Amino acid sequence: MSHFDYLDQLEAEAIYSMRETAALFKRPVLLFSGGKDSLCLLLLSVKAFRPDPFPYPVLHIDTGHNFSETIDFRDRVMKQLGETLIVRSVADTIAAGRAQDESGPYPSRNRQQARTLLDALAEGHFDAAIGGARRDEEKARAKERFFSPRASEGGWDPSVQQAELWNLYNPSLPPEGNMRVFPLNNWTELDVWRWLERENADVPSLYFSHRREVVRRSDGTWLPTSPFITPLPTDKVETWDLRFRTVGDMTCTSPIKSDAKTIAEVIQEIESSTLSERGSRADDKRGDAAMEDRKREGYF
Amino acid sequence: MELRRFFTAGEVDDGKSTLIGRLFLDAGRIHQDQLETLKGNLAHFTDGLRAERAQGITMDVAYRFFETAHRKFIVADAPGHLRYIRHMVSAASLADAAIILVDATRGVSTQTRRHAWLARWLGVPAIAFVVNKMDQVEFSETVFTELKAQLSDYSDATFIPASALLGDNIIQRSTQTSWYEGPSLINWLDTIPTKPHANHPARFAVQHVLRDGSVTGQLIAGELKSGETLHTHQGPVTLQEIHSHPHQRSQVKAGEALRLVLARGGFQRGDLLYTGTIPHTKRWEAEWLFFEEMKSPLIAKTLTWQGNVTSLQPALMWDWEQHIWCAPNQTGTPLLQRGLLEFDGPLASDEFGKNGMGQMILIDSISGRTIAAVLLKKAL
Repeated sequence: MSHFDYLDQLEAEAIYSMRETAALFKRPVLLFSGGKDSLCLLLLSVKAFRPDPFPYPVLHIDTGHNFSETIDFRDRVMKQLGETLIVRSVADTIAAGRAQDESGPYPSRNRQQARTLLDALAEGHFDAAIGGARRDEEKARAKERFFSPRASEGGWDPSVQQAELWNLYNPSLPPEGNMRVFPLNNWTELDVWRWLERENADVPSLYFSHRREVVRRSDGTWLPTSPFITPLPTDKVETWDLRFRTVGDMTCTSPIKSDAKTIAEVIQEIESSTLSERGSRADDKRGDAAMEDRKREGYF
Repeated sequence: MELRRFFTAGEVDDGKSTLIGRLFLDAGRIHQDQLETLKGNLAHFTDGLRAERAQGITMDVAYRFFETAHRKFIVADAPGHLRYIRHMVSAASLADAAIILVDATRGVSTQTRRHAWLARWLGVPAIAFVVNKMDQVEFSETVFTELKAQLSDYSDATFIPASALLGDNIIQRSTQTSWYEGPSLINWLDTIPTKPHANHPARFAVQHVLRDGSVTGQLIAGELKSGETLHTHQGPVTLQEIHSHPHQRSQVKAGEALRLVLARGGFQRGDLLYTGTIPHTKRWEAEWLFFEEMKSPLIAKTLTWQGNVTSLQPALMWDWEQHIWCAPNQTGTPLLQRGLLEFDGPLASDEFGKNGMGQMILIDSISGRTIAAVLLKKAL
């Protein structure tokens, strides 16, 4: 590494914020969804803390609507790293009566997982949670700080966001509150892929082109066939070569037609795309301020 | 590819958000689905919060990203309103450049001067004044020259006549301003330098200590070579190994996140490893900006040190209207003062702007909020 380029700068900034988190909090935790962004967090933790083990456990909130590929990948990567994985399940939250499943044609556990997350943070007495959210994903996330304090119920209140100057992060917490830390704030979708390519990373197969059966809704939405969506009489079942640009629940993540089978081909495809990354997320299409509202409820 | 950060600031309605919307639209970085939700108003591209859309103003910093063939840019769209000045200084604190909008139809406002002054105060190395809405003054050279003359304090700044709404001199040079020979905004952005810290003495702040006694942290300034002797406040120590996982390195430069193996242990977070000399004292001459009111004792935090403020004695106060230092006879926010700061322990720092150090935040000890920015000017 003779030339210090922009990926090195983004990497250094992310590692810096993770080391600050490890040093400033008693019980941090890293949130891993099985997707590419939180995969970066795991690989960056290796760079930040080896030869030590991670100074925090890894927490996965399992919505129960995950792709089986995501769970397989999660278990494989955690085994390779030899780090501690905690799994908390939305199904358990629902069974305990602390959340309710949605009904209708697009039932999602997106909002419910905020409850499971808050319960898991309280249960583990975690005072800081490192997440893979990025400012370029969505307009509410574009306003995030690196250190973002949350009150005990996890709500994000943008109107009282405090100053964050230079890289002097303020670790103060509201009573019973916790910190959300976003090391990838300044990374774009392309940066993530270019960095994963440079790191020669093992990436979940869902991000690459594969043949899959999908349901086409009358409004043009595509969803992978799964036991979790409510069939509609107008649904059409089709099979295409597809890949996913974001990996969330099977109920809200639409694939795109793609022949990209390698990271290099994915990068090429994104560079020429006219749609934004979350353009295929049904959960963001619930109105203009959908993400802002979910963040206020404790979502990432 | 290189990374550059810039921020935009200006008066309410100067068209900051429209400018960024235009920059992205013309650079091809607004996607089709995002364009549809804008409903024809470019300003909505950065106003992300419900309250911002309702009130039609930017309240918090929105960060956006785009790239040219040479550079990746991090764009911070900062609010113009005085009430949200904490967000503006957040956006400015890490910036390599400031883009300050001037409304050609309204002239240079007090707030425009304030933003320019704050950008310079925070050490932002490059400033461009974008004289916007030139289409509404028939692209008049006279209007442009007069505005430029009103900002003669900033003779090293770049002045660009533009229309964010129509795109003149944003990406393409405008055919409406044949009298203008300078760069378009994007051409200017492609030439701004970064903050140079490489040819300085070394400054390494210990962030975190690993089980084997090796230390992790960021090289703030200068270079490190394995085998060299570094100073610490506990005496000299030999730097045995430099790592940036998974590589062992013999030489590294400022900006990198590193792990250092030293010839002895006992280091802790906050220790400073350095070459050359560095002031180390409790009393500092400083300038500070309160963007929220001080209600309880203050905690001070730098890259290497955290402690309590034991004394804060303003000698002068900046008058935002007259643009001069005057007697510190006012309160309220924002409050910019110069004077003496004393802490409950000695802290090592260079003066602000030197070797990437000298910046400090003040935290209200009861609310826990970051309420002021401090520039350490001189060790006493």
